[in-house]
Amino acid sequence: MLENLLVVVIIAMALLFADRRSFARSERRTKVLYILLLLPASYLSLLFILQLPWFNIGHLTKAMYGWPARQIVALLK
Amino acid sequence: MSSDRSTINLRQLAGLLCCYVIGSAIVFIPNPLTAAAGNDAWISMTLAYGFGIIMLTCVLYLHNRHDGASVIAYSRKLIGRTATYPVGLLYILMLFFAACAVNASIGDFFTSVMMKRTPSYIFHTIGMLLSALTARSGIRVMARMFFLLLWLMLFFSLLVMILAIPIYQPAMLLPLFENGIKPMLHGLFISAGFPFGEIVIFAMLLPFVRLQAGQSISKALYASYSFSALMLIVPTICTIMAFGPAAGYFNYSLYRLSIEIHIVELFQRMEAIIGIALILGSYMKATLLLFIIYQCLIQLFNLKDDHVLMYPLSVTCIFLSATMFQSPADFQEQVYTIWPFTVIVVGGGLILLFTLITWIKHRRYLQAERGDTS
Repeated sequence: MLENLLVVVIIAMALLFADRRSFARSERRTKVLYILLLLPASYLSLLFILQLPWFNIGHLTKAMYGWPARQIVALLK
Repeated sequence: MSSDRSTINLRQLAGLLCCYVIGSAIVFIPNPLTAAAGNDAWISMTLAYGFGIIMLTCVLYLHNRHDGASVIAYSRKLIGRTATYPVGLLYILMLFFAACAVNASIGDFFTSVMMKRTPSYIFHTIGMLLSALTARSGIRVMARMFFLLLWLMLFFSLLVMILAIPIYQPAMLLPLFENGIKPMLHGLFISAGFPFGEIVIFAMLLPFVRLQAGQSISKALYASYSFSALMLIVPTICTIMAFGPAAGYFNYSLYRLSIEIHIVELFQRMEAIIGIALILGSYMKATLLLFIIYQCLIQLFNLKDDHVLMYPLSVTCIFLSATMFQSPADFQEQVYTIWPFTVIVVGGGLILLFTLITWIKHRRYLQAERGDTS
C-alpha cells in the first residue's frame, strides 16, 4: 500500500510540475475539463493505493456489453 | 489542426495505419485466435480482414462525402449537436478501454515472461508516460518516428518467423473445419473486433492528411490495410505450423516461437528480439489511441488544441491500466469477448449508421438537383 501511495504521489507531483504553467495559460473550458479528468484519475488512484476491486471502466463495459457478448460467444462455442 | 505541424502526408498516414493495425496484435492475436478456431484461425483472420475492408470502405466514403471532416464533425452534421455528445462519450469510453488494455498488456507480458518480480505498474507508468510525451509532440512527429519503428518491428518479427522455418510442419495446418464451422466463426468474431474492426477508430486520424495532386487516399489505405492483414495472417500460420493444436495454449505465440529457435550455437535466445517488437507495437498503438482520445475530447467540447489535456488523460490511463483487469481470466474475457462485441456493434454500427444517413442524404440531394434541372 505504501509503495502504491508513493507511486501516486510521484505521478501527481510530475503532473503538477509539468502542467502548472500550461494549465494557468489555458482557457476556462479546458481548465474545467482538466479538473473533470482528474476526478476519475483520483478515484482510480484510490483503488490503486488500497487495491480495491471497486467499480471502474471494466465493470461499466461488462454491464453495458457483457451479456450480449457472452451470448454470442456461447452460441459460437 | 490546420497548422503545418499537425498535418501528415499520405505515406505517413498509411504507415500509421500499419502501426495501428499490426501494433500489439502481431504478438497477441495468434494465441486467442488459435485457441478459439484451431487450424481455421487463418481463415477467420482472412474473413475478418474482409469485414475490416467493408468498414474501411465506409470510413473512406464518409471521409470523401464530408470533405475530410472528422468523425465528431460529421456526426454533428448527421445526427445533430446534442446526440453527438452521448455518441462521442461512448466513443471515448471505447478508446479509454482500448488504450488501457494495450498498456496493461505490455505490463502483463513483462511480468509474466521476462521480469517476473517487477510490479506491473512500473511498465504501465513508463509505457503511458512515453505515449503521452510522443502524442503531445503532435501527429507529424509521431508519423515520422513510427515509420522507422514500424520497419524495426516488422524486421524483428519477420526475422523470428524466418529463423523458425526448420521447426515448421506444414501438415499441422490440416485438417480444416475439424469441429465444424463454429470455431472458425468464433475466431472471426474475435479478429473482426481486434484488430480489424478497430479501423473505425482510426477514422479520427484521416482529417490530418494533406493530399497532393493526383494522390488517392483510398488506394494507399487499402494497400496499407491489406499489407497489415498479411502481416497478421502470416504469424498465425507460422505458429500453427510450429505448435499445431498447442498454439492455442501458448501466450505470446511469436515469443514462444522465438524460444524454439536454436540454429547451431549462433542463433539462440531470440526472445529478446520479439520482446522489442512487442514493446514497439504496443507503444505505437497506445500512443495513437491516446492521441485519438485527445482529439475526440477537444473536438467534442470545442477546445483549443494546446495539448494541456494530454497528461491528465495519460494519468487516468495509467491508473485504469493498473486497476481495470482483476485477473488474467478477466483480461481474456474483457479483451477477447467484450471488446470485439463493442468494436463490431458499437464502433461498426455507428459508422454504418453514419454511412447510411450520408448515402440517403446524398441521394435526396441528387434527386432534388435532378428535379431542379428538369
